[in-house]
Amino acid sequence: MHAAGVWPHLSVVSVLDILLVAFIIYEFLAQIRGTRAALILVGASVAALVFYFSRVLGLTTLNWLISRIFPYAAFIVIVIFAPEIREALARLGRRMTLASSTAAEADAYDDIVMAANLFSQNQTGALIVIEREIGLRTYVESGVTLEAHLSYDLLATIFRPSAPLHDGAVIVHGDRIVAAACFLPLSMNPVLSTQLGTRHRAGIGITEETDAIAIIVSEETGGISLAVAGTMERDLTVERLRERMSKLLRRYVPPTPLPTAIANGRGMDESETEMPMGSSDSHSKPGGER
Amino acid sequence: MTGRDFLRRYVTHNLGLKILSLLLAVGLWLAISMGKLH
Repeated sequence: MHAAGVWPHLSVVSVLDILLVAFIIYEFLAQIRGTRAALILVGASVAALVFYFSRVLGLTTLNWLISRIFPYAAFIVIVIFAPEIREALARLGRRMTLASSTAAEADAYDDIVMAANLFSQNQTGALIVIEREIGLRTYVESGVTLEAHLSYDLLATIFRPSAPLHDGAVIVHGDRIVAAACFLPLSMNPVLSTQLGTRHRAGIGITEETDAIAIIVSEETGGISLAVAGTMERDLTVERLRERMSKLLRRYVPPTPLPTAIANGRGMDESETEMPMGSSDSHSKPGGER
Repeated sequence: MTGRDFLRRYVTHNLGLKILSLLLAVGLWLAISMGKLH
């Protein structure tokens, strides 16, 4: 494509080039969206604009100052975001190698199944969200960061009604519990059953906005539900939940002897009731106070 | 995965961000190709 000699030639290779760069930019923006890195990016963009206009308008002192600071700013950003950069590169590596599950992750997901069974038997409300390709950092930052190894015992502890973190969603990434007591977006789907409370709506809401899967245990009925892509499968058996998770996460979740119900004396009382549905809040801490 | 799921997951999800990324990439390509950046 030539346009009066002004526009550069657009070849197939150029289109491929643009698409690859667009992909990299998109992945970068998607990763940092809703995080403190996004705010820093906005700040850096403003600084870049100031630098550009200082050059155009001939503000030599300002231009000199910014041009001296910029090289150091790159180092500062690298130091501040070292953990995020490491995680992003690891994620990229996992995608490139098409690595699916590790034995640790498979064990972790079996712990979720066992915990769901416990919550179901004790009629303890629970909402567990498993991150897949799309990052959930926005929601992680709304809760309490844990970065803990995922285990059956930890899940059972978090969702004890007397525990400070039981109120909200647990977000799981790989074999780690990233955060607990997280706020999730509520589904506004009017077609949803009126029997569904806030916890279920939050579970569906997060799967409407991301590719995460959500496991919800009702504290009224003890029923286990699984939400995927804005739809919910209700009253699953533990075996069915294990089967569905195995399929959705493309990994083998080995069958493990399920624990029996723990007596209410252990702390899983049934005093709480599910939140009424129909909230107009866009985000809510499911199953608890708003 | 149905066609609707595919569309939702790979096309309409974060559509604004995808368009912004494409515009930035095109802008960058134009700036480099026209010799404004070195």
